Amino acid sequence: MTGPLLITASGYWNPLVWLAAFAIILVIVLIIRSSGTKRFKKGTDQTLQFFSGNRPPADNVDPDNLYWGFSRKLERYTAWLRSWHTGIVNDYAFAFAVLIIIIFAALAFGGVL
Amino acid sequence: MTFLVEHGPAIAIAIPFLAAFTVPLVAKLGGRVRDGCVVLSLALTEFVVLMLAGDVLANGVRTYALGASVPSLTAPAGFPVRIILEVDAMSALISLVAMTIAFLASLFSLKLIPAKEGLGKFFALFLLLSAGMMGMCYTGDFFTLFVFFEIVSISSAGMISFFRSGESFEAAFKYMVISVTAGLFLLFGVGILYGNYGMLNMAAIAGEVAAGHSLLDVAAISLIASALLFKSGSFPVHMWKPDVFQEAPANVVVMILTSSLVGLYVLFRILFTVFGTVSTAVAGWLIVALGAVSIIVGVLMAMPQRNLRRMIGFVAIAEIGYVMLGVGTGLVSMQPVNAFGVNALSGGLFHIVNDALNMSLIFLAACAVAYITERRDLSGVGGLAHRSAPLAVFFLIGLLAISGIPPMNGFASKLMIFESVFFLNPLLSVIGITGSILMLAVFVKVFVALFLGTPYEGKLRKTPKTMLIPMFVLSVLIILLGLFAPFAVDTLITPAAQALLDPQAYIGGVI
Repeated sequence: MTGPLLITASGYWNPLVWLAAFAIILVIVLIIRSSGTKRFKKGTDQTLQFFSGNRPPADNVDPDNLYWGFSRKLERYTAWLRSWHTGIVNDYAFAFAVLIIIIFAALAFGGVL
Repeated sequence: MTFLVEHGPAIAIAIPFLAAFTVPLVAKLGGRVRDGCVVLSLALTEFVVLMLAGDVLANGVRTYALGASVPSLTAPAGFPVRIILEVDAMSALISLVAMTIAFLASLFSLKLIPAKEGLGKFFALFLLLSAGMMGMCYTGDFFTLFVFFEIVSISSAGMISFFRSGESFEAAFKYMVISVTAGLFLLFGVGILYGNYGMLNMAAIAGEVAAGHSLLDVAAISLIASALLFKSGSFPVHMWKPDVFQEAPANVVVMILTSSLVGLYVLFRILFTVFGTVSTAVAGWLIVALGAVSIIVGVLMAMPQRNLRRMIGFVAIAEIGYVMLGVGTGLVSMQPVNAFGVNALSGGLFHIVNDALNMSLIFLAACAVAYITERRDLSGVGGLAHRSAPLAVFFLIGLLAISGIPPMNGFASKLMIFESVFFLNPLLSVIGITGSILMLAVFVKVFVALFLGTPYEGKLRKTPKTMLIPMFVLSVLIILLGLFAPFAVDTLITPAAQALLDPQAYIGGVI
């Protein structure tokens, strides 16, 4: 550590510089925003969500569907992972036994001790 | 003050212990007296822990022999047979984190749990858990470690089933069965060490291990490490965590989360200090591998969850993985010590602090939402930012911190970990960064669901100040640790990392 710098393995991090940069960018954004149109009217179509040019659905998009494609693509893996999580306590004890064996085997055959 | 510091290790354990047995009696005098007793005892303990940490950082290791005429008299007949508590920068840091969370969780508890008969007993368990965590932080011998491990397990199981519903009983039963199993294997490992060396003191055993070791040590460390990995909720013994997070009261979850970090600390203490003088590269790689898999399993299982508490439980598993990734890398590069190893270790230790704060904040905020809406099932609740802005802000701060968004504290520790583990294997950095991105995705989904969109039209309770204050304090700590991360690392984390890297300092405290 040297002064306000957090030394990481191959660089450094200064949160105060980041904060200063953020403040400057925020000011620029506010300046650009202030030069925008003043014709905004509450309660009109202007306030509707942008939905690719179509009228938005009456209900909000369900948050569960936010990553629909991503979740669908990973379904096989998550289903496989879920199949481990049976909720049966015997399986928990089995996992514990497996862990003991893994650690013992790794240390004994890995030449640690 | 000198008395407090000199006897600090014992006092920090004794206060919550005594309070635990006093509170059920004091509760007969009324709810306010009971609450006052709980908060005051934990505030006093926090003060002692703080004083002790200041002393240890300034003057080095402090040793306390229970029952000795002079606390520093560890070897009455040239052999350390007494119960010895030992505090160095590492244990001071963890105890400070644990007690801060315990104090804030006790404040949060005051209005969370409906006043009903037996609340005194609940707080007795809460204080026992706090005392158990303090004991695990400060103990210098293996048998006392087992005793405190059991205290933490039993008190946790009692509190998990506090709501007395079918599901909470089931979660408590599962936790108890696996805790007892882990505890027995821990005792078995301790027994092997005792049979091998004829002693239980960690520093004394470390000295013996340095002189020569055998396959019995491998058996002992396998059993002890497995038990502690269970306590920390790492892969593949993580499955109890989502069950417990789903059913236990919010304040209990926060305490269990903290106790899992304390378990991880004890594991690191044993790997670095007791077995640190022998080659530990394989042990380090094992920790790194378990950490990486914990991240993958944690985030991938969190994504499809529809129950918020269960989802946070899986994220907690992934967060433990980051700590293991950093500290494991430090262990791999311990002999000889190199710069990226020290950096990874510091990042891992910094992430313990950040994880405790970030996860506590986000879980307390989520549970405050359940409290104000009077619903355990939060599906159908949305747009709360319009009606409860402080909760939205607290949740957002927790979300940004957990996901490692600058300038929050989580970013600083994760940056240290990612850049360091890259030198060990770039794939580890990829896993870490991907996990962090997925974590952000998971919490953005929750934030959108709970706080954005069409405002919830049901009746809302007012958020009590005793709930807002702990969340506010956690938020401030998160922001300050983020903005002044270099100072925090320099003052608290680097001394803790050095304490782990220098086993001789710990051993020298006793022998």
